[in-house]
Amino acid sequence: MRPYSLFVIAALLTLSGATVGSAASPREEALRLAPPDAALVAVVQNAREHFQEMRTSPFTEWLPASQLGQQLLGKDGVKSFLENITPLCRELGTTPDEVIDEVLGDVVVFAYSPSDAAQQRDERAVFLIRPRKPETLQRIVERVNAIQLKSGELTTLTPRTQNGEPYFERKKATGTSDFYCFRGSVFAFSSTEADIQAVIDRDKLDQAVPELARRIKQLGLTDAAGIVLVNPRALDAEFAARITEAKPDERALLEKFREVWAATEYAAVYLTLDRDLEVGVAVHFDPDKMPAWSRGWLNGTKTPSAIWPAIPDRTLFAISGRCTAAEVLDLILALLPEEGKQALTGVLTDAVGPIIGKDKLPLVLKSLGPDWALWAEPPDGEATLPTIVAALRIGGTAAEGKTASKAILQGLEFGFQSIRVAYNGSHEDQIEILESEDGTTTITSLVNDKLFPAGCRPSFALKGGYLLLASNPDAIRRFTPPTAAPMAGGETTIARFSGTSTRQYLQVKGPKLAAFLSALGDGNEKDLTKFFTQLDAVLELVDSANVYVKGDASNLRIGMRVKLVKPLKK
Amino acid sequence: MKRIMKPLVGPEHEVSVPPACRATTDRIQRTLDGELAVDRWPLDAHIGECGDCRERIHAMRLLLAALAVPRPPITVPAGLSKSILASVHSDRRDRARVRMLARVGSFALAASVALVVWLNVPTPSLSSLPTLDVAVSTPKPEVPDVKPMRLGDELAKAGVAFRTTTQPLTEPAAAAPTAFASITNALLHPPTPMAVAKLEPARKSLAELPEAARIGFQPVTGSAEKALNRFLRDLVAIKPNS
Repeated sequence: MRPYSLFVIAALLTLSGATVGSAASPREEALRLAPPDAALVAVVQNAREHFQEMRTSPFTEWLPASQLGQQLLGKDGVKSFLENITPLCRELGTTPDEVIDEVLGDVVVFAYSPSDAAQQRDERAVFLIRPRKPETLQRIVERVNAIQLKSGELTTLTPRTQNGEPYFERKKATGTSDFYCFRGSVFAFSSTEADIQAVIDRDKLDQAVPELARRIKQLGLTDAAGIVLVNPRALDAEFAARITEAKPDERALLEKFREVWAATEYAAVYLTLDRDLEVGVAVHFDPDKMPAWSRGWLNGTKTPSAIWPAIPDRTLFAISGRCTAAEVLDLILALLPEEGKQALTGVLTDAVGPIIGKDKLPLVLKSLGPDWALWAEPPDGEATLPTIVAALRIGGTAAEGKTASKAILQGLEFGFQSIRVAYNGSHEDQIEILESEDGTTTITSLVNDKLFPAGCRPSFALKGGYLLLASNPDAIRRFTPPTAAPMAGGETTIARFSGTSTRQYLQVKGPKLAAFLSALGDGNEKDLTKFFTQLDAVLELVDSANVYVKGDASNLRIGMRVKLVKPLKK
Repeated sequence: MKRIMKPLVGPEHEVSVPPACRATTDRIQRTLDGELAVDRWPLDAHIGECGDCRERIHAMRLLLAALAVPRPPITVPAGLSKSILASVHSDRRDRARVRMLARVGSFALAASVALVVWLNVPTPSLSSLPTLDVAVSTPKPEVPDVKPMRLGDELAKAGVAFRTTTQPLTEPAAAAPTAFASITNALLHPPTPMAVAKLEPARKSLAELPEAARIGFQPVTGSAEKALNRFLRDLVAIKPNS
């Protein structure tokens, strides 16, 4: 009997006997055969449902009218790709739709571990598919084997056994082999024989809920379309090697990073497809192992900055958070090596201290915050660069706030005067310091239209309990201090990007911006113009993007939710 | 092309490119990237004088020919293309790393849009395909009499076509870090030479943080890259170094 016939019979026998009585989900069926100790495990799931829902979505219907859609759908785009895969599909007796619907549409898993010289372990990888219709995959596999035997790419197809269970070796003309088997409804493939043998052995284990499926659930990613699970323990040796190889300055920082690494039990990068799309990172920590300096920053409930309601809607991008200057300083000092610690402390004591008042410095650092934000508004009039605004709440008790505010204003006034004196002493054109009123608020600005770009007048003010720094005083006038206290818990936005505002800005100011940056020596005008044009085509798809964090005692998630101009699903 | 060649650039491949050869290696890189056609090369007296550059150009032509005509295979002299490409890349290593990060960042958007684009293109249904000379749903003990097709070659071509398809998304993503740095530099140009010298030691220490973080994540990013190479090699028949 020829090996090909043996394969068909054995595979059909395997298929017919193993699908009975399984209550596990397709994801669990596939993941129970994946190595739980793999360094990386990529899971793509529910592709069929995503395809079906997106097929008639407003975004799909709109895309061909967009610049990017026309490029992607043109002769050099997807059509070219389809021209390449159509003959393949024809040879295999299938269609792309059938492959998605019946083969890849449930779950596809790829598990990988790099080689480890210290443990004399080779690179390992296995590919698992849990098809909706195993017979379709069976048919395609047969066809692939037949074609490759005919073309000479394969020299033999040989049935083998592992503990009495069948698998197959595909020996290639190049002298290498790959291996595959069907276990129940799951197809496994690898170019390393040990991985296929391990799949067969794992199939015999009784796993109520596979470890990898449990981790996905713990990370809250059961609905994600794509997940890459990371197992830090499989990479510990490589991490230690990186620290050993690092330069002394970097080694001190990496030792701090190692403390967090050791507390990280598992993590994942994920993609979800809904009306919006979301990419992000989810991490599960052992809270008992978390270093003290990282607590609160990495784990724990998050609270949004109170400033978000005050940031204008037309803002190009914004970042915001909740922490005092003293907390940030403590974190930086905890991370820095001894030399860096001394340098930073020296700057605070010798440079900042005398300006603010050494006795008032701790109070000022404690009072700066916790709410802060930094954002960029589209420029007005002839200005080319966006207007940058920073806002920091002056916290503490009323008395503390008053003392801190006075010290901060004195420090900033000193800084502006120093800049003016230093510049004016060596230039014909002069910097003026102007003060303007905005109700009860005094705005102090540096003015020199020759030195600063059009529309740029660095300014500061104290308004409604907030210290404001801006590249244009009008932005300070527009700021309305928020009054509502933020609510803790849930998803906390830390950054926001407006695709529509940025696109409008680049359409109007793009050529001027490219010329301006080029004149400053920050890039080639032609390259920048090309980039802005390409970016315009991509931004046409994006309404906005929000970055959020969410956490509890043992979990942290950082996600970026992208709202497209039309919903990705109905 | 850039993505495929990147793994060639490792410490063991790093060689210095003489300044006189940089214009030529840059043209080779742009040609391999598809940005410059061979027949648009300007006249260059250096090529006539430099044997190394002539060898580089020869290797580039062999590579381009091999990519354009999958069958029959063209044999590139062993080791030659590696050394040429390593030369081309040696001064681009950092930029390639930044581009890779940017590409990873744009992957989700690219994948989603590609998915949506796919949905917009009518794909052939099974019934519209030409009738095969074997009953595909029934296993046959004999090898069917089909035209021998090299699936590995066809998959590799499809992989290249896919990369080309996503270029409108990946190119701006790759250029974004440079453009962003330009804008940031413009905004942060110090208006006066303020007494910043005192801040320098602290600034230097703080500047180590991103690099340390990058090294800290290398076990994950490096493994991800190796995993992708293995995936391409095993399943899509694309050799990462091809």
